[in-house]
Amino acid sequence: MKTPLQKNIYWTLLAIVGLTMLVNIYLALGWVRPDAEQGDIGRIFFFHVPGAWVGLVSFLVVFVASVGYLIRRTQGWDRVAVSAAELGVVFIAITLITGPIWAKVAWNVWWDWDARLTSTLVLFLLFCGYLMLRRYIAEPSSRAKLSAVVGIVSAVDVPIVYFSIRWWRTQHPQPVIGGAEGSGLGERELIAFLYSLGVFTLLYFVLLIQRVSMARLEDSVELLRRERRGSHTAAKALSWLLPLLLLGGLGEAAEAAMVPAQTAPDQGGQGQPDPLAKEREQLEIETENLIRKRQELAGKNERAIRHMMIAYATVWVLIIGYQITISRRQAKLQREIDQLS
Amino acid sequence: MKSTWMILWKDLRLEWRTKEALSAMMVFGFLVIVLFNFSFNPGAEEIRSSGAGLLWIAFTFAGTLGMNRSFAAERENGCLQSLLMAPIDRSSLFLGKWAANFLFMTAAECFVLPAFLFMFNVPIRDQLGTLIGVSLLGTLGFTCLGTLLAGVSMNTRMREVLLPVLLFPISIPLLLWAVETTSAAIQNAYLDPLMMHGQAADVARATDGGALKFLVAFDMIFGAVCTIVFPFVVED
Amino acid sequence: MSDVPLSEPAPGAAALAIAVSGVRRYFGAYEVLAGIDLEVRNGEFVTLLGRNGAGKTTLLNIIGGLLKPNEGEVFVAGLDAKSQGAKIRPRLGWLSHQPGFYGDLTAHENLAFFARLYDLKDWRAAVERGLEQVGLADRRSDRVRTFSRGMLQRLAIARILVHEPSILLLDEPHTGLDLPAIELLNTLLEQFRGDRTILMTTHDLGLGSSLADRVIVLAEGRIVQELDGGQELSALREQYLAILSQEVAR
Repeated sequence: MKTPLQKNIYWTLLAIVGLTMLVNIYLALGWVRPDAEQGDIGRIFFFHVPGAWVGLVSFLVVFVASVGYLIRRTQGWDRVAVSAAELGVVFIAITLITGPIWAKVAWNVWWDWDARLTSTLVLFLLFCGYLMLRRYIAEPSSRAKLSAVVGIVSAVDVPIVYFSIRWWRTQHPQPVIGGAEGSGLGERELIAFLYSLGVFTLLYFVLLIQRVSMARLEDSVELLRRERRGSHTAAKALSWLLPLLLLGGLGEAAEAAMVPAQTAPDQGGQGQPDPLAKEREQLEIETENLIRKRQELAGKNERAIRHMMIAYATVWVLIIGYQITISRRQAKLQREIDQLS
Repeated sequence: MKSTWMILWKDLRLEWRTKEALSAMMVFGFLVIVLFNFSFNPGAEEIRSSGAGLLWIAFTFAGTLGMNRSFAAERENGCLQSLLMAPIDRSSLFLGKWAANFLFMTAAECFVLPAFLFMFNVPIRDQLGTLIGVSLLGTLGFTCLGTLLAGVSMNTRMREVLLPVLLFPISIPLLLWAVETTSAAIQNAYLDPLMMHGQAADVARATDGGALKFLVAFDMIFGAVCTIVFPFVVED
Repeated sequence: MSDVPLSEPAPGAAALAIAVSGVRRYFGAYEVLAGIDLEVRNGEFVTLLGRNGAGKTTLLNIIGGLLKPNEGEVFVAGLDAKSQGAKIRPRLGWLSHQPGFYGDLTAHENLAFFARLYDLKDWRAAVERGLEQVGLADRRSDRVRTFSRGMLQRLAIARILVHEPSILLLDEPHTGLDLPAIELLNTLLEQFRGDRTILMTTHDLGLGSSLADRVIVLAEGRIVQELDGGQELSALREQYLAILSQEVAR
């Protein structure tokens, strides 16, 4: 049962995070200068990378919580572990969705198996395995114990995965499609990036707190019900997420498919014999090329901005959607507790 | 470690009596190779570039099949309970099972690997040593994780299905390094005769980029982690 | 068979073979054991009586170290079951619902396997003795897969005999036995009395309760009553029925 004080604290935290997020939006979308090569699409960087970063943090939390549970055997540790895993999935989904959007617009490939993205994908699979395991064990202490074991093994694996995939990429280098990491980060960009990292981490922990308290509510309901639990919340929350993810991804695919074709430049007609004719022609051609390039860039940039906004919107849909899911479930659990007690 | 040996010996003897798991593993591994032929229609070029991957897919699929059963027998008649009531170390139980799974998977590989070399005409010659070495090291790590996770998944509703879902993502680094080493060996196998006759003197020999030592490190790390963590799986 | 058990109780241990206090055990939200206090002295024969689902098996599992209690303390042979299980196990003989044998090994191989896990010096002789005592000597080379339920149970009893434990935990040992086998079991139990400590669960009053020193009635995770063993079966039955009807009324 949440005391009014706890509620106030939580909403204050959420408000703080909201404000910092707004600042983050301003920094990422307005303050930072558009990337020289990619245009505005490069702004995705500021929430694409933090998503992966938070995924890593999440694994650390799962590791600590799993070890804590095996040593202490109190349910609280298990709640933290499952909450961290779920949130890890959400934030990694951010990275895995914005990654292809960015790649398609900037480099014209959906997925290029680059080191960072591939490692993030493996992280996603590890989290999925963990959550799937939990789904298939009904008894709470057995579930907590076994998922703690898998959590520990997976977490130990994470640095090895990153290392091995990076090594693999050096063995099989691709033509440099993806932007090299952090290359060419100017001062503004660096500040905005670090700020982004901080904000996302803050957001993560605030959501984690709420998810843990929801888990506690669930345990209370369980105790009050005194019967075997029917559904598994992890799966339920995920089942909310998957349609969201799909919608986000499909919308993107639809947009990107409607790329205007570019016409090839015509060859100019014959020029009159003129001593400066050649140079004038050259100049004309070059000017034409420049104008065309600028038009291209502008067109590209328009599309880029559109895609980036959609990507950003998807991020917010994910985060807010998750928050709404948790809140609704908490309300329902609270009603049930009031009914039963 | 006498109990480790006893448990290993018991599993070996059981398998020898029925030969169920082993034959299924061999057949399945072989099947993967046959299917590969139909899916990719590979010539020497394809084998040189993707053969290592195919081999390890065949190995791991066969291995997963076998490991699923490793705890099934214990569970069936409540033997696990009898084992737990005996005064043996829980880690001995793990080591014994790991050793058994390792031997079974290796036995299956003894069939699948020659089948692969034979059916795709891979001129392996002096690379055989490397090939055997990487197979053993990779199998060691894979069975270590697989034994632990089989113990975990046997406690769930979805027993057999869950093992690959858990095992493969965690084993990705191991597979990466194993395939890399195997791939270098296969490429060198094709290269050696040419180099011997001076026809490809300027082509560099493929190296595994140090993958082998990473493989060893992986085995050691997870050998330790899984042994430490296993008692939690079987005990309350 | 030697008169002195192979595994002595821990030196300096109290006369209590088993001491359980305040044990609670939940499975999820379901409380299986709601505060159990139990003492079994060395050499005592105690029967735990209760309906199915009363928590007998869970309690036995906790005493044997297979489960940990959520609350409470368990001491076996003076040692803490939660932390010193490894030292306790050599002194324990365990018989559960499930036979726990490998179907494709022979009777002899099964017993030999488990005997050697106990690190016995003369395991061959012990296995032979065990097989003879339960009357399975002629089936020693047959695969256990071919055994009937009764034979499996006899083999399980043989397994207990092999390492000569001082404390026996038997979970409904008469289940699935035919009359001769029941006789055999009761004869063996009679032999063990005084020598070894026996804690046996059952849901059937007629089976083995007359041998017990005490009969403890378990219902809904609680000990509700203690009856004196050694009474006439009919007297015991009356008392038990009275208790049951009380429980139902509650």
